[in-house]
Amino acid sequence: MGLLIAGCTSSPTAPEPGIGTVTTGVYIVNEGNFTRNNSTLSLYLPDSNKVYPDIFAATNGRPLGDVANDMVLFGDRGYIVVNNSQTIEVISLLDQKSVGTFVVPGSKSPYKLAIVNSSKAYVTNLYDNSLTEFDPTSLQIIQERIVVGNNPEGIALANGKLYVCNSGLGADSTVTVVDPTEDLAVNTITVGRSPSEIAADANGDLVVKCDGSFNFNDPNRDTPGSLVLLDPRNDVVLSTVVLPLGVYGHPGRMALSSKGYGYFAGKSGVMRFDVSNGTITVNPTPFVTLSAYGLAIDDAGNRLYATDAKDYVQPGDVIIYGQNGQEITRFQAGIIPGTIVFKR
Amino acid sequence: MKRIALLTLVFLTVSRAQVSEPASDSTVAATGHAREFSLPEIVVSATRWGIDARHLPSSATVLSSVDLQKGSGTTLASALEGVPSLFVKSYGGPGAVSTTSIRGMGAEHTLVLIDGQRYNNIRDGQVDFGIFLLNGVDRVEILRGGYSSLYGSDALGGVINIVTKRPDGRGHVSAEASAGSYGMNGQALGAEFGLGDVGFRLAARRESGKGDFEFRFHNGTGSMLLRRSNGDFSINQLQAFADYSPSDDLKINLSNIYSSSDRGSPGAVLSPSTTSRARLSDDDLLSQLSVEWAIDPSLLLKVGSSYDYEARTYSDPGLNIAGDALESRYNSRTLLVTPHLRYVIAPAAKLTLGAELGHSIIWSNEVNDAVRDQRSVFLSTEHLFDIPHNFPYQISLFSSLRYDDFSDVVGEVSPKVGFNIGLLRSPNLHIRSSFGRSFHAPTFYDLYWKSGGNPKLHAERSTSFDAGLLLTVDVLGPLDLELNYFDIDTRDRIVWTPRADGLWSPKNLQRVKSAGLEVIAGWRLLSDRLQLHASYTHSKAKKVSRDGPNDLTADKQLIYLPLESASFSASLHFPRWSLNVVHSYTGFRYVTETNDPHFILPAFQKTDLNLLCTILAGSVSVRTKLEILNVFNSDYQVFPGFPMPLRTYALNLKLEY
Repeated sequence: MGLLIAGCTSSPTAPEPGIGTVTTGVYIVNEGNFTRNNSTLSLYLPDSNKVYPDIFAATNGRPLGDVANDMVLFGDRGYIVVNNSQTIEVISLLDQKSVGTFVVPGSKSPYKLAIVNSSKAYVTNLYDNSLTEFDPTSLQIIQERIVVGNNPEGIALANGKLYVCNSGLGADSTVTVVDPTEDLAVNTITVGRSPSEIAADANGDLVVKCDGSFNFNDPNRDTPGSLVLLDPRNDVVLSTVVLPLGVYGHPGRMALSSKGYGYFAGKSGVMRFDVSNGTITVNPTPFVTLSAYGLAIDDAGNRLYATDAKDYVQPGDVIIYGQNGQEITRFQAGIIPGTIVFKR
Repeated sequence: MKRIALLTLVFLTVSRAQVSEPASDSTVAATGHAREFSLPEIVVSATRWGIDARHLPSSATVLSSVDLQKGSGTTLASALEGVPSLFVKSYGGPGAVSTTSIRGMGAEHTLVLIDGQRYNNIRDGQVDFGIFLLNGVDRVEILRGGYSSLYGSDALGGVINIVTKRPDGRGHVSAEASAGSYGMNGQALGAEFGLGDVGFRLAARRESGKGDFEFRFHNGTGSMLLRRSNGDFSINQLQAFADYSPSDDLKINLSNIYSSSDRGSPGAVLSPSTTSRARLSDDDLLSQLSVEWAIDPSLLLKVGSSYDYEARTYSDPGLNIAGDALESRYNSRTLLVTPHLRYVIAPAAKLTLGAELGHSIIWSNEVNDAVRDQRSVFLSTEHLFDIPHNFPYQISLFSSLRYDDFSDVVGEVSPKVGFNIGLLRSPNLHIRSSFGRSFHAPTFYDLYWKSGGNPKLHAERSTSFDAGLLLTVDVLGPLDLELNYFDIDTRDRIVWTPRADGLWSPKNLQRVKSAGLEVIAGWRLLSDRLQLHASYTHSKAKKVSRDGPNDLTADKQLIYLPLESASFSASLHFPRWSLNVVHSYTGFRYVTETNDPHFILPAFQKTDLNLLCTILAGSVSVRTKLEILNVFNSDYQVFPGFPMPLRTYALNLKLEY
């Protein structure tokens, strides 16, 4: 596949065939279009500034699947959640070869993944109001349905427990706490409307990004999004920052650094927020004005990776920004680049 | 593919010629002849009054009642397969949602008429041919090219006019039963009779099947045989027609068609574990009343009216949203009245003046309640000049102009001009061309969808040009050859894109150009015992607008539409039986807007055949039909993830007294 360079500085070049062993790299999960089976996995090698645009298919001789939504690295494996294929594709992080496929039974619409240890992994099932538990080593199913709230999306591990965002696609406002030793929901925490993403910060607290809700009959009655800080030790809300619709719109995706700050996509660009002393502070001035789709923070290099999904039908770009928001480089990924993970 | 193209070229090089006079024009509808796609044929919808296809300024195909009988399958979707430049877009096997694309345009760009009255759903502008039973269909006219100047919205790619069977004045009853692979079975009863001046036709039909056909699932490195689940369907149809003709000058027709279907909606198969419990149910009641009055020999009045109520429910108990299973309900109704008057100024000059008044309404839990009132006027002329020499010997000129006014979107003016010149009588050669504007008004989905509809949309507008020639020579029998070039340039095409708030919403964004070549040949041999037909279409449908300097989707073929398609059919007729074989080829299709060669739907070929036998025993006729579809087990998909059935069989028995 040809590589188009929409270049600024130091544009990456297309690599020669044959990648060899990868020790460090950045994986970009490209969702592709619903029912077209055209998800791809791009691999960017910062050291050599090369991009492998569809590394999964190139290595394994078959497409990744339909609507790949998430990727989690664990040990020497990468676990890619392929939502509409109802699968979790597992690759070796050394050579990108498939080491197996976990098929989520039925059509539950697996969405986001959390791996607790080498024998327990949980995936949220967007339209089944459940988690499915499997062994990430043997890829055998452990429990098909652990009931959580409505339309579970983001999931994170903190303080030995799983925290599941129940968005209800705009109608729910809860986070379900699941004890992985019992595989039971043990608590429910009320947060802002439509929680969709959750991540643990350096202090062990959880930042929950809530999208707010849409009122399709009267947009003036939309509810705003919010950022909520949770204490997983006591399962309580520490603080909430409401994101006024007029300033931020309904927030898009979020990325959280281990260094006490994060970003989310707002209507005027990528917004930075800081987490300290149990509070979240949002800078109302955009960090960059890109209308970003996916976001990820490379803590090692202090870089922000943001994706531009463009028109959602042609390959999107990944743009790398420095600490001051300056663009360092950009490269083309696949269609709807959404999730970015770093192999170090 | 190459084999078929070569055959067509062989047809074109035949030079032996003999006179073949075209049939004369007619101002009334005529019933179809027992020929397959061949000329001349009366086409009612091309002018609203009927005209010899040879005189038309653009291309048309007519499927007569005999053609429909010779075809395979029980729905309009199967009957339309193989029609030149028409691509049937099926989401699976029998009973699955099926729409059409004519000349590279979208499903919403085909205007569908029933007995000349608009039938496209106001909800999405489409018609599902997968549940439209052929029972009660007398003939189908397919007009290629833009026709908004006569019919208004949606006629960008072409028009499909479904002409229903009318009481033929002789009393008879019929019963029909069929059975086939994967639980397919059907039953039908029909009766025709007359009471005084009124003729009646009553019919009922039921078709059902399990839809659990086998198909091959490909995971990229290998394939496995799987069985489709949740593909069951049940379609019921009731029809009642009454024709009243108190005199030769006055005809009043009343028709009621009620159809109801309930189907599994298996969705795309994207992994071996894919399951679905989604269901789709449709109810449709269509009532039509038409009056034709010959006020005097030169003045004809026709008033068509229709009332269409449609209800659709899509439910998926496996898809929970905020604690409730998904259930989408849509109800719509449309009332249309179309009075039009034809004034025959002279045998060679005719004028039509008409109007169309419409009122549509939708109520749904997904779409905001909405109403559309439509007021339209149209004027068309036909001139036919016979010239007393051999080159040229005839000139036909056409013009039409229509204005459509809508209560919720901007109105549109649609002009069209065309000509047809008879160059040679022997061999019979006509050239023709047309040029006009058409439009597609935004649907209620586009305008009023609760989570993103855009009430500011205006119509998609197109200019269409076509030119072609018709040649008839006698080579052991009449050989009709048709060559057409077409070009449809559509601006402001409605495309759904993400808004800043993350919701998807439609906008008038794209410019799309569809251009291509059609080669159509029909050959009748051995005193019509052997009929051959071949067609080849090369159609480029490209997005030509650029969304930015590096737009990788510009100048790329639209997804799912083949660049090439072809079909070949042969029918062998004897007094009591016939053998019909149709072989079709559909070229590869892109799956991504960037035309990434890694993601394509491969080309496929398919062969269907049937054997039809009719035995007469006194007043009873017994018709038996054995069908084998996809004879060579072609493994193919029209849409990604929606497998089509491998080989299937069906047996149909019909008794008529």
